[in-house]
Amino acid sequence: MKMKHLKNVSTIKLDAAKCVGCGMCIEVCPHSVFSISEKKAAISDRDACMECGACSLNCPVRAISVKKGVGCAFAIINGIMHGTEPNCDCSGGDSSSCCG
Amino acid sequence: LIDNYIETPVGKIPLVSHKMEFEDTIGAVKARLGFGRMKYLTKPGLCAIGSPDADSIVLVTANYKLTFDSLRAELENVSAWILVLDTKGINVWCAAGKGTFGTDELEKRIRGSKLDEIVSHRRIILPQLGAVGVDAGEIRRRTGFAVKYGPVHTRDIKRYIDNGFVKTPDMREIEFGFAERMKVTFVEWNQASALIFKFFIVIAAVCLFSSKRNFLRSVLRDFLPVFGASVSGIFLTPALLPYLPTRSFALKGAAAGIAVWFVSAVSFSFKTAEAIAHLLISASLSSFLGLNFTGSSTFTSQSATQKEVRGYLPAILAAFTAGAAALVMLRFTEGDGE
Repeated sequence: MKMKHLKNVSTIKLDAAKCVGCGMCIEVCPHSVFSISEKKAAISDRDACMECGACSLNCPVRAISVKKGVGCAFAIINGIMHGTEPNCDCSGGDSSSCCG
Repeated sequence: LIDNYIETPVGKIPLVSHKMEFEDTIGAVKARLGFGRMKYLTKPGLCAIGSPDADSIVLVTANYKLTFDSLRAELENVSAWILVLDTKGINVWCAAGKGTFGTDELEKRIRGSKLDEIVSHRRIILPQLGAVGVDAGEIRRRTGFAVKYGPVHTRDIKRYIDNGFVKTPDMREIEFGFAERMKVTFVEWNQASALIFKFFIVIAAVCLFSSKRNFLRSVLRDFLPVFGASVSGIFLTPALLPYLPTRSFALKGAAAGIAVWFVSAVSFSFKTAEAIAHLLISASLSSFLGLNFTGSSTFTSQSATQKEVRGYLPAILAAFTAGAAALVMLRFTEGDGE
C-alpha cells in the first residue's frame, strides 16, 4: 500500500509548454509523480510529491517549479521558534538528526 | 578497509574490498542505535574496487560509512571507480537536501581526483536521491561528465548494471514498509526518552507532595498511561501508519493514543475526572509524537507538514496543558482512599 501525505498541498508546478519530454523528472522522482505521454511530461500523482526538488533542479529547460523543503515537523517547529525557515540541522554539531 | 593500491596514470588509488570486516559490522550496529552516529564517516576522494581500467564505470557516493559500506558490499565481481563526496558523514539524501552532496562538491571531487585522466569515457553514475542536490546539466557544462541517476537503493546496483544502466520503475521508488519504519523509530525513541523521564519526575513529585498513602501505586497509575501514550506515538503510530485513519500524522497519532488510553482507563478503572484528564494527555502526547514522525518518514512534504503543524499543534498544546493541569489539581484535591 502506497502511503501519501495530505491532499492538494504540494507546490509542484509543470509548465508543459517548456517541456521537451526528456524524461529526467521521471528518472529522479522517488514517488512516481510524473508520467510521460506524447513526448510531454505531466503531473499524474500530485499528492505523492514530497517537494524534494530533484525534478526542478535537474530539468534541463526549467519547466518545473516547486518550493523545496523538508517534511519534518521538528524542523518546522524549530523554524517557528527561531523565526527562521524550517531547519532540521541534520549536520549541526551535537544536535540529533531528524532524518534517519 | 584499504587492502591495497592500484596504479593509474595519475598515481596510486586506494583499492577497497566488497568484504565486510568484523569492525564494519560492529560500527554499523552502533551507528544504527545512535552511538557516535555523527562521526561515522569514511575518507572522501576516489577509490577502486575489483580491477578497474579506463573503461570502467564510475559510481558516486557519500562518505557516511554505512552508505559507502552498503555500496561496496554489493560490488562483488564488479570493477569500478568509486568517487566519494565529502558529506561530513551524512547519508546521500540528507546531504543532498543540505547541498553537501551537491553540484559544487561533485565538481570539486571530479577535478581533484583527475577523473578525466583516469577514465576515457565521460559518464558518472549517481544514486538517484543525490538528484536533490546535484544539477546534472550544470555538472556536464562544468566538467564534461554526463550524470546518470542510478537506483535509489544500493541493493539494486548490480541489477541496474546488468540491465544496461536502465532503471526499472521499482528501482526509482522509495518505499516505507514496516521494517523501514521500525528501523527509524529508535532515533525517535532516543530523542523522546529524556522527555518521558521528565514526565516521570513530575508525576513522582506530584504524588510525593500530594502525600499519597501508596506512593508507588499512585505513581504507576499516572505514569503508565503517559508511558503508554509515548509508546503509542513513537512505536505504535509508525507500526500501524498505513492503517490508522486519515492522512494526517497528528490525527493518526491521536487515534493510536486514544486506543492506548482506553486500555489504561479500563486497566486502572479510571473515574470520570481522571479518565478525561488522561484522555487529553494521551491523545495530545501521542499526536505530537506521531506528528514528529514526519521527520523520519520518506513521503511527507514541507507544505503538508506545515499545514499539520499550523492546524494541529495549537490544539495539541491546549489539550496537553488542560489535561496536565486538571490531573495535577485532581491529585492535590482528591481524598486518599482510592
